[in-house]
Amino acid sequence: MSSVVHIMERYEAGSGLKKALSMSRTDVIRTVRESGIKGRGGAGFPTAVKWNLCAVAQSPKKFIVCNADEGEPGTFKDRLLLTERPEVLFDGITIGGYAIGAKLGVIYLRAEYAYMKPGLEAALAARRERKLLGKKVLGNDFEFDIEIRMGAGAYVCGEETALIESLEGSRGEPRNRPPYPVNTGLVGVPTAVNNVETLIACAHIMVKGPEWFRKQGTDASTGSKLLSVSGDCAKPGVYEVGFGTTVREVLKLVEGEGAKAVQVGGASGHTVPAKQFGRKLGFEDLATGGSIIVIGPQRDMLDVAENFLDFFVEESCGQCTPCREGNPKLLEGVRLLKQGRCSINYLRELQNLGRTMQVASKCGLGQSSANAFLDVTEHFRSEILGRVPASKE
Amino acid sequence: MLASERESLRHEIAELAEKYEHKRDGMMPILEAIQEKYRCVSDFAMQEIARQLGVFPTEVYGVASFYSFLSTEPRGKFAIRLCRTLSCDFAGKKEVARQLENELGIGFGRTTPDGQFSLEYCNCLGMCDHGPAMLVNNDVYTEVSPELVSEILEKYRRMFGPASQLEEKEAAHV
Amino acid sequence: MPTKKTASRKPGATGKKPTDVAPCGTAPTSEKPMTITAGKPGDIGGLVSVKIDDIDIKVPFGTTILEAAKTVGIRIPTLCYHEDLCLAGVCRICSVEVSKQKTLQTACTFPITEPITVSTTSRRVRQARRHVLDLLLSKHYGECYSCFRNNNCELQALAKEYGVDFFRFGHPDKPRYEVDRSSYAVVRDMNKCVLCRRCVRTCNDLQSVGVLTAAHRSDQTKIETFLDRNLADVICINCGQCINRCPTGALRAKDPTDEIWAAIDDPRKHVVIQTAPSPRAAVGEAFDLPPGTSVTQEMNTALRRSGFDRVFDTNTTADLTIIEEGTELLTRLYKALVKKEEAFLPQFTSCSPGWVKFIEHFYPEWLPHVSSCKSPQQMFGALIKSYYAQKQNIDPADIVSVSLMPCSAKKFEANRPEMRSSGYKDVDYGLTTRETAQMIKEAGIDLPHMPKSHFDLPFGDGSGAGLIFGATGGVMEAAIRTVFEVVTGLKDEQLFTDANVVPVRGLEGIR
Repeated sequence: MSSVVHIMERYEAGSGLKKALSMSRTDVIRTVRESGIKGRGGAGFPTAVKWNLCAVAQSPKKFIVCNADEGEPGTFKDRLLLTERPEVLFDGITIGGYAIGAKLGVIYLRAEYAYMKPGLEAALAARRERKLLGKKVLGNDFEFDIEIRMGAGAYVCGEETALIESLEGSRGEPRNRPPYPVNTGLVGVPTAVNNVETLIACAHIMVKGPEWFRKQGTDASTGSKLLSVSGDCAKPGVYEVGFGTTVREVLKLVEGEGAKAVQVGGASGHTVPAKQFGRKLGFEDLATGGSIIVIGPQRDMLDVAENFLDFFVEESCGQCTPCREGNPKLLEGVRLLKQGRCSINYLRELQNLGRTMQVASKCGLGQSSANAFLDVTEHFRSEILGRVPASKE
Repeated sequence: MLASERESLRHEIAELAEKYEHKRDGMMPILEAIQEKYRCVSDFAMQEIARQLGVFPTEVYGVASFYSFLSTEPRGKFAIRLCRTLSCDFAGKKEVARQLENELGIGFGRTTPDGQFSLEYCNCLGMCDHGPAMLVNNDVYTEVSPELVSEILEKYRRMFGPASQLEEKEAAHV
Repeated sequence: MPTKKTASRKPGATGKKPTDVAPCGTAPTSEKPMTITAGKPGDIGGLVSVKIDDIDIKVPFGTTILEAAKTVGIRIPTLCYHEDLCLAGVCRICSVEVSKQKTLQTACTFPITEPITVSTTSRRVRQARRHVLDLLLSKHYGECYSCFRNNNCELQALAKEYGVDFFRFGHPDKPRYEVDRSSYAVVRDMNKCVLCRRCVRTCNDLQSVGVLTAAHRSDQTKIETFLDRNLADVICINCGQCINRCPTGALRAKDPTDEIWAAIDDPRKHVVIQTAPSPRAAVGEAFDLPPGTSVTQEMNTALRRSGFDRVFDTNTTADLTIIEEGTELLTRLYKALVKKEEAFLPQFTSCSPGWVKFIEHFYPEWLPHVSSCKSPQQMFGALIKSYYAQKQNIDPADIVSVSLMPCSAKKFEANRPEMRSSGYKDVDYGLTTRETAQMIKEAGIDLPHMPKSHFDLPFGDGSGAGLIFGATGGVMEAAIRTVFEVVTGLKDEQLFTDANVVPVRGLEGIR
């Protein structure tokens, strides 16, 4: 683990919640706002803004949803948090529920993490015993409970409106936005969807105050970030660094300095070539949900692009034309490149297509699925053109 | 399907639907429960779920066919899912995949003729720092090697036989 | 923002009310109540400024960009959008630039809630439109020349308008899916489907039948029936509304014109056609006449010249239906009001085979209420192969009986196994308006300039009652007119001006 310990710090179950309940809801949101925290799932929306929009929305019923559908390739930090810090998470959810005025928090847990469910259910049952959940949480006039709902194997359900569709019993197809979930969410009522790490960070912020969080990171990207590092490095695992850390510094930590490239932010992130390892993690430049995959010099960048596009072809929900039809075209293009059969002109067409996908797709999946392809075909030109496959010709 | 099987399935679905107040948001938990027990959501089950939730059978079918962990065709008793995403790929999933096919005698996307194992790829299991990773039903296996594959499969093969089947059925009821 | 209300009836529901969640099934979004936050109270209902290209206008809060653009004559291409249906926002061809938004937004779904600037002409927009078309064409198997939607296809029109001049991302050289020809009425060719989901929304929301759904995921997504069964094996009522809304040739009515030409060309066959009132005012559109122009008598000539031996007027048996159904109503009324016994009232009409199949599947308990009378089409069919055949001394086995009906369900009705009271298949083929127009054109006939001629006797005369069958509530009105006269001994005109039983007509309420 890194030198800075924030999110994984020891935490007394209920401490953040107790603090929050001693404040008004507005003050809770103000505290979160002062910390400057932005969503830790990858999208980076300011948490306080989301909670506030939900809080001011007029509705007798509201929901807070914890997005535990961690599916971005290379991301496993939520797995760690869910197995080792569930109490902090439950506090965070309850705090959020209090802030926005919800009575129910739903944890959308991906099907692949089903083995965690019994443990989490048991922990929730224990909380109900201790009045950390129930009709009068910690004796306050605040009713709240948490329910776990399982996903069923769809990466796209990590997108908040697709997640909501799934909870409503439909196909995980993202909705048109506007309206946004903070106004029209689960069953049409205001809903805040937050990442596991975000909620845990908020619980810590309640206890330690917003200034503690601001000690790390930059002005626009406050706080620390959990990184899930894997790939060609000696020390893969979960690390916590402040935003503003460079890629090079991360590689040093994980002993992966010989890397040719680093994939920051998973399949939908950025492929950073070695010459750009000075770039900084954060919402100003390399926004990430935390996935860092180290790509060693022996790897074929087209294999990397193919792997990611294969992923997106499988996981696209299939609603909108650019993503559903565009991803297979890009994948086909990568395969053509691998066979040395792609003309420069056609490559250019595919790059244009990728750029259209980035702006015309209906949701974040389609808007970012072309990223790896564009990055690889831009930064690794020399290795992708003119291939002569070893087996024939 | 035998009439008695239908009846018991109808009863089960009615109970599940009751739990969710016959509302549509019960769709996923109900489908998951049926999938868990019967390894698929059958034609009859989908129509019955539709009836209990007040939706069209096609809507249930649309949902069931969307998600990777739900199927309308029976999966194996033990569903093996091998992660194929980049980090596990780097860590050697190709060799593990080959060995799985050898051991089971089927290709990916198929179920063994005796219905015991189905084999498929899945996407990132969140075990990237310990790849290659694999799920067998809800059990996670990490740092799987071709040698380990046969050990793992053997463990599940030994779970057949009346006694262990009974235990499993009882466990499923919890 | 008005949202569409739909029938919340679900089949076989065990008396449970549909849920909190809005009934729009597999089509995502906007059926669900769209709560748009107002920045200030009074915003909703107020006007918002918007600049589209270089035109400044003010629109009511919540108007979509598409609607706003229409008011100033700016054309934005659409494909999945349909004014009858809830919003989908899936084709992405209506993408436009919107100020403050990083990505393009779909004009059909984006509500204007604050002052924005919209551009429909930027490079990104043009490129996006082309790419959407190029991508759809890369999966669209088939070519326009041999497609029945040639010159009448939305995909083709868009490709032309947006300058598609080569298949940027390729074009399939073989079909991916088998064509489903199992149904008597509707043919499904998913190789031409653009996944706009209009058919799904129509069947689920508008018709509340629920035969179609989007199934699977990603590039395996396909519009399917339950477990991808044959259309003939599922609860499709053959109403053909999906065909009406499909933008391409993916859905079509089952076309029997080849068989009919074969019959016409066979000298041993006596081919007769009965025409319903509604197509007579619709077929002119295929010849560029204004919609609603009545070409009844011109069509009589055209059909004869095309090769039909006789042209009959369905109004005749419509009158027969009135007598039969009116009598049935009287009998039931008598039973209820005079004998004070249980009778199957209210009585529902039965001429629409889609309606009948709908009740058979979804409300079988109401079946006894449906009139036991056949539709005019089937009555005619039976009469032609019995009474007419006898009178004209023709062997019924040599008669080919065709009916021109506005509706695809009539094709199914003709094939219902019980419709053989003549001892033969009472009606051999149902033809739609479009198909008839096609036949007339194939024969090289210029319909609008045909000389007028009457229907053939002995089935040429029809009263006004049969004519109003085409209007909603017309059958009931006609029945009431007859029943009224029989029961009261008065003439309709004494109570109803010109015998128009107006309360029963039209679309208000339930008839």
